[in-house]
Amino acid sequence: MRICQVEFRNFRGIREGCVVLPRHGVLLGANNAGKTTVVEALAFLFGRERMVSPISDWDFFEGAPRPDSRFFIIATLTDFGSNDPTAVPDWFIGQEAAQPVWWHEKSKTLSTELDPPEGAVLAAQVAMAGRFDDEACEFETIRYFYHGECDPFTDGCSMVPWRLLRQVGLFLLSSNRDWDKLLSFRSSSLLKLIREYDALPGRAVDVLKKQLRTDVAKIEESSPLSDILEAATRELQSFLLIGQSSKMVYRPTTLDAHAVLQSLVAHVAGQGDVLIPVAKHGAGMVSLQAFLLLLAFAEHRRESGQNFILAAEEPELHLHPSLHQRLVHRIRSASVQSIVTTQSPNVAAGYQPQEVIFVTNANGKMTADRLRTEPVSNIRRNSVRNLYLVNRAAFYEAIMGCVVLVPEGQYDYEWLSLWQRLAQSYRDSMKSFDLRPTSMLPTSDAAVAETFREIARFRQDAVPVIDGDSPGDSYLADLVAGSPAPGKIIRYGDRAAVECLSAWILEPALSSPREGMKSLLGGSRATLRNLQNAILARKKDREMRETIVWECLATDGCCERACELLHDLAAIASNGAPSNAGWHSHSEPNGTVVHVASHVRRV
Amino acid sequence: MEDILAVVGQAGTGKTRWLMKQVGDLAPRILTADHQRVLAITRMHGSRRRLQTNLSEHCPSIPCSITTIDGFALSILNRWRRSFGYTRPIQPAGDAVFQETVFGTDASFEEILIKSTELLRSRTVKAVIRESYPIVMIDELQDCHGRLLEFVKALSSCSTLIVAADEFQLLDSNVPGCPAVEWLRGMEEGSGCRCKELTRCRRTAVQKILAAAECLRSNIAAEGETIPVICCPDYGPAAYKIIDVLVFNARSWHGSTAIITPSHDGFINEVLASLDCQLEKRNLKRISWFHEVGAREERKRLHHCLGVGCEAPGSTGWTAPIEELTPAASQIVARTQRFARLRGLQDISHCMVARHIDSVVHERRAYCGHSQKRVVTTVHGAKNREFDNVIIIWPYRVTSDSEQKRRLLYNAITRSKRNCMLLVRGDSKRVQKDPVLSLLGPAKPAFLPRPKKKAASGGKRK
Repeated sequence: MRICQVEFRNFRGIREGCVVLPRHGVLLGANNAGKTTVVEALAFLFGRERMVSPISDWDFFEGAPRPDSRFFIIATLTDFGSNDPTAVPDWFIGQEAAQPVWWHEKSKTLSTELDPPEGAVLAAQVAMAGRFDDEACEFETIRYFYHGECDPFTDGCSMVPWRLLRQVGLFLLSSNRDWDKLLSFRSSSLLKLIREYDALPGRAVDVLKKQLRTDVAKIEESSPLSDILEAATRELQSFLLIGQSSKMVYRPTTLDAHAVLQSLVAHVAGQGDVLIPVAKHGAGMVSLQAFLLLLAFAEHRRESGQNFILAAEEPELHLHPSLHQRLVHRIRSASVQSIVTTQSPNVAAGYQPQEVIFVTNANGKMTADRLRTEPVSNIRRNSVRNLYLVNRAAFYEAIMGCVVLVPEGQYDYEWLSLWQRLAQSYRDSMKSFDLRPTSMLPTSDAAVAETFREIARFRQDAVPVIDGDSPGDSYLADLVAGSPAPGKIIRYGDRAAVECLSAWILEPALSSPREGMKSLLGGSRATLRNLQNAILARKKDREMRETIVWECLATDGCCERACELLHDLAAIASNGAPSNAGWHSHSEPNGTVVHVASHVRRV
Repeated sequence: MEDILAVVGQAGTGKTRWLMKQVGDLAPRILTADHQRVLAITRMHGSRRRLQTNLSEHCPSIPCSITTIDGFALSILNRWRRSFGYTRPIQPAGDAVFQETVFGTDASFEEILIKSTELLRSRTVKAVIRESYPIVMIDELQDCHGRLLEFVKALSSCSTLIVAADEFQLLDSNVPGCPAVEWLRGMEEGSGCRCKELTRCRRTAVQKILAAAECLRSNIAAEGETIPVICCPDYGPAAYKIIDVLVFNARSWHGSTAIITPSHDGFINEVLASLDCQLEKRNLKRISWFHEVGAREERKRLHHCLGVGCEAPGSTGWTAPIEELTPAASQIVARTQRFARLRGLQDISHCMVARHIDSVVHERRAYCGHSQKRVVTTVHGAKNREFDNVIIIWPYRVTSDSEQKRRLLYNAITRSKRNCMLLVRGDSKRVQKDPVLSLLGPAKPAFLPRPKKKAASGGKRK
């Protein structure tokens, strides 16, 4: 069983939205786009009441619920193992049951014919609605079989029994987790989990309880405490005239099963078999341990033929990047379905583009599109295909980025990335310039127009950065004629390629050239023209590039120019004002505004 | 076509017992999975309640869902409403044809039945219904005609039907004959329908009652003695006759007692008032009656009590009355106000209150049981019930043709197990002239000459 679609109405930051969920998928998106809302909503609907925080005003869109405000979470379940509803009696048979509806995996749509249409699979819809009772100042929720739009609080509805929701077996790993608590019986999370999977070692707990009652060191019997206690007891007896012993004894815990369970704390054997409580371990180790414990539960459930769906927020938290991909594979293999949110392009890169869902939210209208609906092999241009293969992580990062730039080609990408790193590492970068996080999209084979059009499917605000030379003219023409056409294009000045940009940044170092610069110039005079020529001549030498860039860290003037450039690029891309006076702009007939850096030109 | 097991028989011949036996025999064989249930349905709420009592008494271990046919049709239609393009919940309302209103999608029962019959033609729906309810049991099938019968026929293609009917107990004056029984009888041999006819009355062995029933059914005047037909010129004598049997002849008239009238009119209230008054005068203990009223009457009272006008349906500005309300009325007020609040409606329309009156009346009728020992009810309300004693009060005007009158009277008489008495308003000439009442033989006056004087003068003194 898996969740193939979830719809939202008035839930948290989403006024309206719908996400189609793959068998295994990752949700990508900017902060606040609603990734967390999606996974938490699933936990709300299918999870135990206390698995997530209680409902509050803020679970309603715009946060001010009135008596007639409702939020709805509507999930569609499919893959019941049969397309015949009578074979799934728990969900479809009886008076209070789901309407058999039909899921079309190919078109990712739902239909509600009476009889199964061609190529569709059986599906059921369940929903959760919430309301605020202003008179009692309480929140009320209902989980019901969704048979169409209604207000379950006034219209009546068929409730979904807990038994069925448990069958779905959804577990949420929330991002604000306390790992050591997850491992400790003291927290209710682990107990809940263990109970959920019927794995409570009841008999062993009972034995432990008996041991704690009798087999422990008795501190009340050791002197001097024993004498004091005895004196107090004697006097008590004389006051109350009780014949029996009312001697006080001390035991760990209150000696009932609950207290014994609560007192269990997870330890890990360190060096020399010394037991160290998990809370004293490093976060990375503990989080991995907790995660693997959860996956073990999942396996246990799967082996006994039960469903397990994992919704995890940022599973990479506290874990070394080298483990990210492996973690993804473990999640996939342990669960029937997994939905993961992430900020890490590395984690996302563990998924096929068809499994990556890009979430955006415009004034409460959430959209969630798969990066690709067709296989990557269908993409004609190699350079665009590479976005999903070779450069997947960078592409995913760009999609989530704040400002997205599409450099003209491979070298442009590499140079700009280098300057970005330099600018970010300059000690005074924050003083003079406001550097906004900027993502560069790796463009290869100079396919800037196709690359832009690919990212524009998700980010219409991406800005192509092209050279001022004649190939640049044809890219410009191609971009402007394409659909969608970019809103803005950044261009270097007259006849300038990216190497001229680098020369412009390095220009302040010409007055007192250091070793790297000298060897680059190869004995010729330290002029801008010679520098441009030298860089152009060795444009394929990546090592040389790296050397010079790091060398110019020593020249404040270069660093300031790099900072200024990055600031200006980001400023233009996000409708701000550039700081260099050399920038000027004009509009193409289709409305695209071209910003030209006239200060960067071929001399 | 699945099997149909049918029983047709007169009142009191043990149809219900036969139904219970069939279900008791079949259910353990046919219900194989935990989720399967017997669907027990009737047309009216009264018969549904009685079916529920019978099932819990005779087949306590068989899982059953008991509802009315309309209720069942509505529930399945609502589950599949999206397949017909209606997204908001369908609600029964007047004669609307799937209209979007503030309440949802309004539709008449007629329209709901048409659509749910269509629903049962789907392969998938059929399979789901069959798997949910392998056995469908219908009592009082004679009440189903037109769209209801079409729906039942559609159900018969899903599950095994166990039904009981008596054509003479169809109390709907607009329907000639009895389509349901004709359908059962018309089914060919070998079609899977077995129709059993029951003839021996088991409810009562009282010869007079059986004779009265027989002559009404056959429309042939009785030769021997039937139940007593007593002419009462007014409410006073009628009330006296009731005291006569229930108090002075309490030994033979003990047990449950019903006063049954063809319809509620002022006369029955006058009789009851006079009854109280005469008992008081005689220093006798008051007899308390549970006065069952029809849904229409109850609705009318609530409309009046809550000040719901018959203005245009959209009329607004309703406010709750200030005076103290009956429990039902205050329930309606609370529900209406909650509805308006939860829907964010500032203004309460009369139509909205009327809607809640309907639903509360419906629920009260659906769930309030009959446990009273002494009831006053209509023939329709008494259907399918039995009482030790039945007193029928026949007013001047019974608005039906003589065929319908026969059915009404037959139904009323056959409710009794031991004693039955017919009090006719009017004199013996009226009885003689009436083609139906005269079937039961000559009427007697309320009082024999001597005691009449005494009682009448006693009655007038005050």
